[in-house]
Amino acid sequence: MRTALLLMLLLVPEASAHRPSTADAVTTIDDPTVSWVVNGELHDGDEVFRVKLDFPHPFALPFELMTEHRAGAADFRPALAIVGPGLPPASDEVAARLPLPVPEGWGVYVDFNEATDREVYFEQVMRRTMYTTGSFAIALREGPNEVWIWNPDETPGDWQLGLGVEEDFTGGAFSDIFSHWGQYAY
Amino acid sequence: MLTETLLAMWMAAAPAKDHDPDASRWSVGVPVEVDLVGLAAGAHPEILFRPAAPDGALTLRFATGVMAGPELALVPFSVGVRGVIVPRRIVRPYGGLGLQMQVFAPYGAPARARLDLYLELGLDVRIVDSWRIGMQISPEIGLAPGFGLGMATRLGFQVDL
Repeated sequence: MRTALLLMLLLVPEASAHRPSTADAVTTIDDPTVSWVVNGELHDGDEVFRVKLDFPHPFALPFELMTEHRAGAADFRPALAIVGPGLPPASDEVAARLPLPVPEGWGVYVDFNEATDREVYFEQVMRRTMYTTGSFAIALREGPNEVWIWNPDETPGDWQLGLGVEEDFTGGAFSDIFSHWGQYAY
Repeated sequence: MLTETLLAMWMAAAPAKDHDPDASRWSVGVPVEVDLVGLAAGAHPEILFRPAAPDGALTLRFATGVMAGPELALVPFSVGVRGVIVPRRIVRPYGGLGLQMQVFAPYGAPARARLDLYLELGLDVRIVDSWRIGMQISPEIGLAPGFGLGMATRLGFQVDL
């Protein structure tokens, strides 16, 4: 099936989606000025995924964090923190709820994913229905920034981080879907 | 597969010398479908019409159905062409292609439509008279409003009317 899908991709002159990538504990996005979807899986609940972004110039970057919209995953609500220079400093209350200390001189924007009503989003490339935090943009400074993803409830689950706008699918961009099929497909 | 389809269409266009006088131009197929991209299952009935000859290779396909899964339901509307290899044999491979409007109804989110190009590759076997059973795989690729993937697998029967 993967071969057939790969052959079909040759027929597509243009795609409309995020560039897929699978998360490791620490993931570096090669070019954060193009759009990405980073796919990860929290196994034992106490993990923290760090996504590193290094900007060549100041950049307003849209983010959204998605989880599966199905009965067994309804209570899985991972949190998202965007950490970097120029962001507001964390209050003591927020800092106490973060999984890592904020580096000196950096600030944080955090979404603990506690909204009562969550937006539901249909992702049509893999035909997935997802809960989403909704898309929001954060103005980031030139240089290193990070996104942290963890689950305060320490329950396992799959998550997808969407970021960026500009699409770029050069260099076998969709190969990650086929090499990690189980994480993208239902 | 495309080459096979075009070859079958060419064969169908050639005048047939010994038609089966009892053959019908129309068939109905009722396959059970499982969609492997965005898991869903259901029935995807199809009407088949052979315009060139009742027992010819060229077949037009019109299909719709309803599939449901844990995250979404979907309703496809398909129009396509199918080329049957050796149409008078008991075992017949075939290939085809066409356009399919997929209406996705994700649970909790608004419905949306996507126009796909679909391919199909299948095999059917005559069991009695005008009844056949068959299996098929059908990769799909989203054309508009955006890119997308799909892969349907089907197992069912077909009867000439």
